Amino acid sequence: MVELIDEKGLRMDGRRVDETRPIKIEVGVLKNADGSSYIEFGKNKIIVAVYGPKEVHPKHLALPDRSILRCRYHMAPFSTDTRKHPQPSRREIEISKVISEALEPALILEEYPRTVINVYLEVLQADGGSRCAGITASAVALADAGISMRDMVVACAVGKISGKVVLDLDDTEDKEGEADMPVAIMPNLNQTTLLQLDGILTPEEFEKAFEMAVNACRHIYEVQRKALIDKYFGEDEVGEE
Amino acid sequence: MILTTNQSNLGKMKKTTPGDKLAVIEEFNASEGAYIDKDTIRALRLGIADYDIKRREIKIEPSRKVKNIPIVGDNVIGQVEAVQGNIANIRIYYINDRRSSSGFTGMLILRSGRSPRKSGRKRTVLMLGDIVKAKVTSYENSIIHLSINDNGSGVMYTTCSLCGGSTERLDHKIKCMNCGLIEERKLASDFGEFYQK
Repeated sequence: MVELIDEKGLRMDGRRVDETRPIKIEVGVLKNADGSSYIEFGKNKIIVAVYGPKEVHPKHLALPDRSILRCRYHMAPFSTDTRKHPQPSRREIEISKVISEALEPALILEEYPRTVINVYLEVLQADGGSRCAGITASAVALADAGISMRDMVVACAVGKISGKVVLDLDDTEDKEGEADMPVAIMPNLNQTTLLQLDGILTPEEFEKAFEMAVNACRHIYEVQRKALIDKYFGEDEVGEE
Repeated sequence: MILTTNQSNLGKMKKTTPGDKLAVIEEFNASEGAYIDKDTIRALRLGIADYDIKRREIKIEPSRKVKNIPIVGDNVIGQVEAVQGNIANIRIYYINDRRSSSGFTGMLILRSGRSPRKSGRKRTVLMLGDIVKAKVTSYENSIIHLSINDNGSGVMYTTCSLCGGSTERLDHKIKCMNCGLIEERKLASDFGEFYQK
């Protein structure tokens, strides 16, 4: 049995229970995409490309009054400790759907009728919480593409290990822990766009976990915002409110 | 005029990311790039918020514009991908002189006009592979309808259908500079200038 939290209350990587891993976001990393971003969330490394709005193929899928959002979450064969088959797995197909549904409430899809917006997420290195990191990076890439959005979308996971509610689980904590709950929010509108729970939490633990996740999302939002402002207005101009 | 609101916002430019609070609805109206969420005006895009005090409007000048999507009235340049009877499919490459890689195709209904001189024979308006300039006339049934009926629109560039050689304008027709074949087309006013663009 792996000891996930020591007697000092620190986790295996030295973090406190309410601490996230270091986050780094870059904007506009791909020349050929309409919008792109790169995120390092702890050991997670994900690159996101947005293409569109563009014509829908096959054409019969086009909607007359709005755009379609298509997400593809894909893990590179070298992203895990054992080679991952490049074919989309059941898990990847599910996460693609989940990410699409987490982003959609933030987008004004009615502005681009009969078109499609494609979001490609390529996980280069995975270490637990890649769907949350993917959602965070996708929102940045969509903003970089100039798509109209009601708000940014930020995500962070929270879970339970060794009987304690902890923030931002890594791969080992995810596998060995008792619960995992990814949460995505629109921080300015104060609305939740994703809430999944794998495992069991008591109502009190759930409330505590949700509050921790929202607070972490607000912190990540500042990183997202800084990355966008740095890219388009220069580093000296950050934080004007 | 009495302003009860945050006067520091007035007349200034503010850098925005989507969702940023710009003002309350008592202060301003939301214009391009902004929207109203309950009683708050928020940014829709990454850009600079421009507070127009005279018109009491907030507009966002986007830092990154979305690719052009053709709308009614736009001038487009594209290539003929298919011709079937009176209908030609045009793959759009330029919208209002801006390059577009969105991959839209438009449908061009060829005018059922007849050659002015030879009655009984349909006039050749365009052929497969021609580069044409057209106008978006409607978006009916989710199809981009194009027209080349106005004077400026028509074929901008084409090659000889017999030998593939370069062509030159010969009044309302084209002549192959290689084999001398003369063909009919509905020529744009700036025929031959496509590569100069």
